Amino acid sequence: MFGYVRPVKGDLKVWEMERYKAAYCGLCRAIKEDYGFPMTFTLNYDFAFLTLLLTGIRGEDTICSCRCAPGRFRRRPAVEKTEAVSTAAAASVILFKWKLKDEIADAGPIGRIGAGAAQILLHRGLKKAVKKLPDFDRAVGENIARLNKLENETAPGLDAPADTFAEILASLSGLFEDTATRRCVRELLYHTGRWIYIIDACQDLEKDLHNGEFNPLPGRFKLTQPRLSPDDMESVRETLGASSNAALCAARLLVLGKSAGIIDNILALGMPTAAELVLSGKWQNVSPGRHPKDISNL
Amino acid sequence: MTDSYSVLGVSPQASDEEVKKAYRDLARKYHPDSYKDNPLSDLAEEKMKEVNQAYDEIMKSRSGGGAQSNGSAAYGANRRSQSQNYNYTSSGSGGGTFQKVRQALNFNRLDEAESELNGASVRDAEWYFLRGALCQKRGWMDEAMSCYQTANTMEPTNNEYRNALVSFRNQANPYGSVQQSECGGMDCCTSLLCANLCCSCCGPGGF
Repeated sequence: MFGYVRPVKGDLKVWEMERYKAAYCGLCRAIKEDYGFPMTFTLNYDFAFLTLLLTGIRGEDTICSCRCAPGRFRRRPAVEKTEAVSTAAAASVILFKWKLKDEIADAGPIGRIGAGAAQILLHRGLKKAVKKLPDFDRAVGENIARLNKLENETAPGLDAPADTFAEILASLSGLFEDTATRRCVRELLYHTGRWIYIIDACQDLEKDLHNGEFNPLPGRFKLTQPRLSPDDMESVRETLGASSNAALCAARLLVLGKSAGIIDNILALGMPTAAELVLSGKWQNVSPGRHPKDISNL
Repeated sequence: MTDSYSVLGVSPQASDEEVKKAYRDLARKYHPDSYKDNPLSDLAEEKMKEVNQAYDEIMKSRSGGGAQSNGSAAYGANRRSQSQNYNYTSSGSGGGTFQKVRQALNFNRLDEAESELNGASVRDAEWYFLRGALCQKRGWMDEAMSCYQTANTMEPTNNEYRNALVSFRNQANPYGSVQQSECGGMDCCTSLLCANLCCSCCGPGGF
């Protein structure tokens, strides 16, 4: 579901690209230190974006270094492990916890065994993350329950299911006491979450139909085949653009320090680029790569 | 004065042209049209006032405090106030109900607006237009678009509904088609060549 929220690296300044990689590495280090090395496999670019956002708001810009096991033990620059980075790490782990629960409920026997084993092995780390962000854990649980209910309805549309994932991310705005900051972060994360949900639905349309899993697009566009027509694609493009623009407008009202340019790039350029790649069927050509050095087109 | 320069994001040593460019870029970012039907429009308006004030202060101090600045007038006088968006009597059959909806939307009282709309006896073009505005503020962009389209289909000559649809489409596609990034100015190879030459000039060690 993740990995769509990335910058267009050709439009980043060199120091911004280094800072983006440092956010990714800093998040990885925080997950490793707080929840153990195996949990670093939950790492994704979207939470690197969240790390940049949270550290930017707090004005945190210290870069130190850490030794990277997957990177042949070389030292790499990484953002300092502050409360903001720890929060992004905990949020990432909590979402992974609910993904495991979802697998156990919906997957086939092999998937269920794998997810069940992971849940047992990573139990302590998952519990620790929930203890750090109990409100976020509750928001994820409540919205997943809402989504499951919507999935059983005949015509839930596109906005209602997307709203559930949007509200999951938006709930992190509760961490901010200042009203103006909280409002802007809420809008930014709401529309980022909505955008991620819809673009993932586009990318997984054929797979979901094949596996008999819920996807909001067939109901919304009354599809008779497992692909969107050009008119449907235009509607999706517009709704994705409306959300990425709304997220951008919210971000521009925040003081984001050294993260400002990178976040602007991700929302103004990265999101539309990713949307075009998904809608044109070229997303699978983008090297997923676990490490930012593997970002190719994006 | 330092605060005014930091609001515009320029150094106190910046030229008048640099100050004006910084002001224009910020004014474009925080212009009310970019925040139409956005729940954060009040914060954008505050930011725009801050930017206008900072620009005025800098220009006043640079011109010795006598001359008036022209810049903020361009974005100040012509600027619609966000609170005027729904501030006129509804002429549709919704009458009083829709006036209440408009006021509620003006002040971001979205639950109140939704409740009034759900209780409306008539679902005409104005109903769909206001429902579109409500959905847009809630972030339900797909339904917002459908509602604006329905309002325009029901009353194609209504400027308010047409402007809402056009504005929504512009916000959804602010940059037109996605452009490939290109190297501006010197290309990468020429830049590296120049950097190499500079290295040689500095002596051993370079960068």
